[in-house]
Amino acid sequence: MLKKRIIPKLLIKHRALGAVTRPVLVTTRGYRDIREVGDPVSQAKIYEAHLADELIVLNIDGTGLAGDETMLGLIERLATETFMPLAVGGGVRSCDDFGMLLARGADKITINRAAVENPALIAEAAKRYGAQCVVVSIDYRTIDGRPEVFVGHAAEPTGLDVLDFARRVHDLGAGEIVLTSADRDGGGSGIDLVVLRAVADAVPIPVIASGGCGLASHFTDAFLEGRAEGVAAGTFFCFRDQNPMQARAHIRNAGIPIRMEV
Amino acid sequence: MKRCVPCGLPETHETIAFDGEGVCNICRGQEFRNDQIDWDAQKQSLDAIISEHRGKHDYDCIVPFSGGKDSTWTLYYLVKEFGLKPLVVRFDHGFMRPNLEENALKTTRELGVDILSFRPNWKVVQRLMLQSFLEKGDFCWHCHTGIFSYPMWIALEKKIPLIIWGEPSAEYTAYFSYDQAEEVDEKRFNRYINLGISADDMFVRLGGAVDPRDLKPYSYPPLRDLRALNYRSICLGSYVKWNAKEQSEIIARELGWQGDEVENVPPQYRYEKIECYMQGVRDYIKYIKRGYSRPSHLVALDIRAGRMTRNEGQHLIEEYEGKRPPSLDIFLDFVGMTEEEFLEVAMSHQVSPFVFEPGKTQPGAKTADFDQWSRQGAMSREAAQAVLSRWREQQMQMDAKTD
Amino acid sequence: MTFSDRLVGIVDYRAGNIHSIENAFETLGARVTFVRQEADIASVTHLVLPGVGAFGHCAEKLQATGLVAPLHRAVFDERRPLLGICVGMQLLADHGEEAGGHDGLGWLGGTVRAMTAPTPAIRIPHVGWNDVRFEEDFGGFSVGDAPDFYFDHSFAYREPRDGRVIGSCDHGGRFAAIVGAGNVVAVQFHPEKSQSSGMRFLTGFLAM
Repeated sequence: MLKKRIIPKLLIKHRALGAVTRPVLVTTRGYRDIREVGDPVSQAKIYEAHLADELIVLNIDGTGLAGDETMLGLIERLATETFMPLAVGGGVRSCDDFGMLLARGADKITINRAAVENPALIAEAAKRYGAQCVVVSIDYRTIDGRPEVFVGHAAEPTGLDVLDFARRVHDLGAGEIVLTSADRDGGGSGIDLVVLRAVADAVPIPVIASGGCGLASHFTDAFLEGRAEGVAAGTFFCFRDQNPMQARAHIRNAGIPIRMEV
Repeated sequence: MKRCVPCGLPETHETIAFDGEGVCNICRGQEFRNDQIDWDAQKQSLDAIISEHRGKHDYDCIVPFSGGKDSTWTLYYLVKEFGLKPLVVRFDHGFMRPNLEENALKTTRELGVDILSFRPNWKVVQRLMLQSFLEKGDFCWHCHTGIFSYPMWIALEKKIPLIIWGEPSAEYTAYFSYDQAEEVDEKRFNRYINLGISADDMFVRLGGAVDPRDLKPYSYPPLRDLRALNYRSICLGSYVKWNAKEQSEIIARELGWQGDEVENVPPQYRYEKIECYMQGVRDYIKYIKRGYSRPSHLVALDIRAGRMTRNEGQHLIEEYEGKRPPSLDIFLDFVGMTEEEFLEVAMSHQVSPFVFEPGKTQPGAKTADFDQWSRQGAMSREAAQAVLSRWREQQMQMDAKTD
Repeated sequence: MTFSDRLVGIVDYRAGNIHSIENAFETLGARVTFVRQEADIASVTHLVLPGVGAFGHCAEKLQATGLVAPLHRAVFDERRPLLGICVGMQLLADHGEEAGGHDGLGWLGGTVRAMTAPTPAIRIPHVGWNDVRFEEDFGGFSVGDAPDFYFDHSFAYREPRDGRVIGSCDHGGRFAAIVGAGNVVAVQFHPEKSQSSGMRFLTGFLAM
């Protein structure tokens, strides 16, 4: 039986230290307040030791991927120094970007703004690389009671309804959706279960919930009520006396199938 | 809260998972340890590891040591059973109790061993305590990491490849299980010891408040250097069946090792956690976060060893658990916080489904040596406030409701 | 058991995540090289055919390398062990239905078909950790073991004509997770991403 997934989220910014640019790990709150929390490779190894099911690695600097050796080099280091399934994104604009990241060691590629501005990319990438490589990351805010898709670190409204957009990206060939509530990001008050469930019921592909975990019970809620296949968490593991092995025990105790190997 | 049917530990205990019969994975691990492991074969493996290293270096092995029951028995066993010449390495966290120091002296004199001790920079320790308390609800990051890293650096420096620790974590949690080799390596350090924060990560989190060199004692050495040494870092408890109570009786008899009273712990447990005068605060924070603490843990161990029933244990837990330790006042000085701030921080790390109710806490009793616990080196309120404000700005809203 | 005498040749046809596989084998103590042209096959003791991407796209890229015939010789004439991973496994079929259909190498026969979801609870692609039931002993695992491995695919190998199912998995119906025939073994999951189970499995392959 397929297990549910705990997916630590690693947000990356580029930091100039003298002549050298290196990637640093950050967390966010509401997609704005940024806090540096560590070294990405160190944290990936720690998550690997904690038997996290996979990692999402996102470059949040908004720069294009082509020529970004800091980011590409980081992905290569993660692929060679850990044995974690990696979903990578941030600034992916073209099919060639997909190829570049896959060649450096990513297993799946996530796109966000590109899915809105160039939806044909979804179909093109799915055709060349298979749906299982194409993850669409949908960020949303609830405006006048309606969940609306936002891009640009959830700062720019698109006018698109989240459910309609989710169905559309599935039709185009996306393999998975990562659904993030920007309002709840880093807030610890729980996952937005209403919108999550609506999206999960609207598409037959896996939906990964993100944004707002503050307690282990938020994970179980997302799986049981929200029908998520995975829960991605950034702040939760950084700033609480928590780790994926503690979270999975809690999830298992709620009767949810999850990997319990040691 | 859901609890293990036999041992009573609640669902908030780290990594605890209940099977179809309501028995927890740690109880099952003990069953495996008792019934499925060929301890004779394990002892033979240990014999082989030791003969491989004996006599080949300046010391046969390193024994990391605090002076508590586990490290004392480990040292005793290796010297008496194997006649080893160990280098005893002690990471001094700064909170050693007088009786514990006396024990350490007695033990090392009686057994005749070289001992190397290191106490890190107090100002760095203070800063680390505050940071890890805020971010992880556990102020002991410096101690967890120092205890497990520092001896590895000594191994490299002095070229002693064999490092022998005491009990495996599988005795108390399910981060590891008894059916696998629990090597005391970087994976274990990342999984079980460092609260998910390496020294590199801590440096970033401190925002440049310390010199990177200040964090070396807390950083795990590079794997390639350890491999070049051909290191082997093992738990004695993987090769010899652990029995903490019996072991503490042996060292009391053979070495004159003495137990001690511990804040908010039933008096019959004089052999447990006697090293550190911040132990009471540690246990109190655990209670605030998880709704259980040291008495529950000790009762669970007694239940698993067949020395007590859940009913008998219940009385002890009710009488001693969750009280406010007198040492909290000392801790508050060290980190420059008020008790209200302390509770605010501790409660922000609650583990669902437990919810702590602050108004109900009873005061706990002082131990006899309380006045001897040094209060030297308080943190200034201004310095602490600066860190606390920064934390509050980044703090997650805890308006979550629990089940 | 030491594997320092093993030289693993990973076929690099620009359609696979070769770094993780390289990492895994080096961690197990084997030496690793990349096979990009025929001459690279010479001293290799074990071959690995990775594959990430759409079936047709991967099949075309593999054909374009000119390695198919030399690999066939190495595997079937010289009997060097071959491990196919994910699409690398699927390429061993006669035919894959993805994107209108494309021929495979036909080395194990059978067909790669789209997975289907009998209930809404089953989602395709099949992504995540799922247990593989071993039908025979292999790679340190025994009959009846059901360890979890990491999967990420929408198409699955149906009953290979020339091979046998060593391990099966269930996602909307049982499908072949591990197939084998002689010195060829192929897996739908990613052993290089499956942590301790994966490493144990790869140890079994190196022992071949």
